[in-house]
Amino acid sequence: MSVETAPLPVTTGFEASIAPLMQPLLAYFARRVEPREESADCLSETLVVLWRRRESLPASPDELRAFAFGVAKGVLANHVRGRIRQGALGDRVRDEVRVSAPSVVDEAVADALGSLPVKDRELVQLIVWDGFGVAEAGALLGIRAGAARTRYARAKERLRVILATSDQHPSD
Amino acid sequence: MNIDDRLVRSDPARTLDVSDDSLARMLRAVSSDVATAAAPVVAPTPARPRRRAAWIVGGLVAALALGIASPAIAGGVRFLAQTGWFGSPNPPGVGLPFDPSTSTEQDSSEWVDVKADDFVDFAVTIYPSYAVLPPEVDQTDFARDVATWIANPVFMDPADDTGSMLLQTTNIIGTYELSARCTWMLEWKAAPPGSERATAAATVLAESAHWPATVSTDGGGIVDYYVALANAALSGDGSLLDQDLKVNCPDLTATAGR
Repeated sequence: MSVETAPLPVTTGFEASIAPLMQPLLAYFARRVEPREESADCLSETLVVLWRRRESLPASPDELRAFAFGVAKGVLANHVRGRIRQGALGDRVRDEVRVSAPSVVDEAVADALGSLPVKDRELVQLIVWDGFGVAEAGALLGIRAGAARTRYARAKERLRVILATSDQHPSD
Repeated sequence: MNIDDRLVRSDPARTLDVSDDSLARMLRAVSSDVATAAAPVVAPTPARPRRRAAWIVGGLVAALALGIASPAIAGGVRFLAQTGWFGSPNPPGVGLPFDPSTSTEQDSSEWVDVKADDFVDFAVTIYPSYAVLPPEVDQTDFARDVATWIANPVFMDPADDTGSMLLQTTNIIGTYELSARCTWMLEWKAAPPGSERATAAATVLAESAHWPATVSTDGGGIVDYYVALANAALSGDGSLLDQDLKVNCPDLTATAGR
């Protein structure tokens, strides 16, 4: 299949629905997948699942987004288990991810995030990086809205304390 | 700098630069690729005579007097029945239309839609080779029959063609193991008492107690039960075996010409 040169015909309903989610989904994987270029394979795997379920995808954009990220979460778990294979479909995107400039890492922030419990860290990342509301992010993680708000506030406070300490004692 | 700004600046995807055009092409290519993969990859062979034993499962497979060529899976071929989800079946917090008939999560194996058109084709490809069958039973025919039975559970309204019904591959393999065990129980009953054939059947029954899905889905006592059943059969006692045939294999009848 020539992904590089084929003209793009008229967009289908499925593509129109999913297209706005492509960059956010790719970014979701790029934030969590190592090596980062494999985020292209995770994205294509997510699309395959969405395509298979196209008859039962939620109609509402918000629900579709939550659904798609739920699928992405499962794909990410499969990536961790080594179940995502590299395929030709992701070649072009993989190349572009590879040549994207690496983000400047704030080691103190990275360390502070790493000190959080896994679910709290993911909650913070879903909210701050992926743009979810607290309740939406909680739902993706299986946490009730009230509990998500509490956990998010506590996590932010903990980050604040850790960063304040590390800023005062940068060599520690 | 406040903490939110600092977190945002630490976003590993902040400098990610992938063109919308590349992503649009990927989206188009994925849907095209899956559509292609969904097309039949192995054409059914013409009907051929069944072998000596015809296994009729639940009365649903009497019309399935056809043979299918080698397993339909080829390198990289995906089936529509495969959801691509492993472990937890549904994205948390999202009400899915197929949730009500989703079975309880068993393990991290893949969820499969048994109502997909190609479910049986897929199921045949995951028949566990260790679940051996009596010599006169054709494995592919048997795997298709059992898969067809799985796809048409008695509790589902045949007219209901909406939605999906999800099972994990472990459950499907477990059903294969259970059904294969049924064939060996019938084999034992058909064999002359004390004969080599009866001993061979009882030996496989003993081994079957330790088949992977039987072990992994044992909520307590199942493995021990089948060990006891096999030991009884080895000693010539078929009482447990008769009881199990009634409970676990009520729809499985052999029309073997032996």
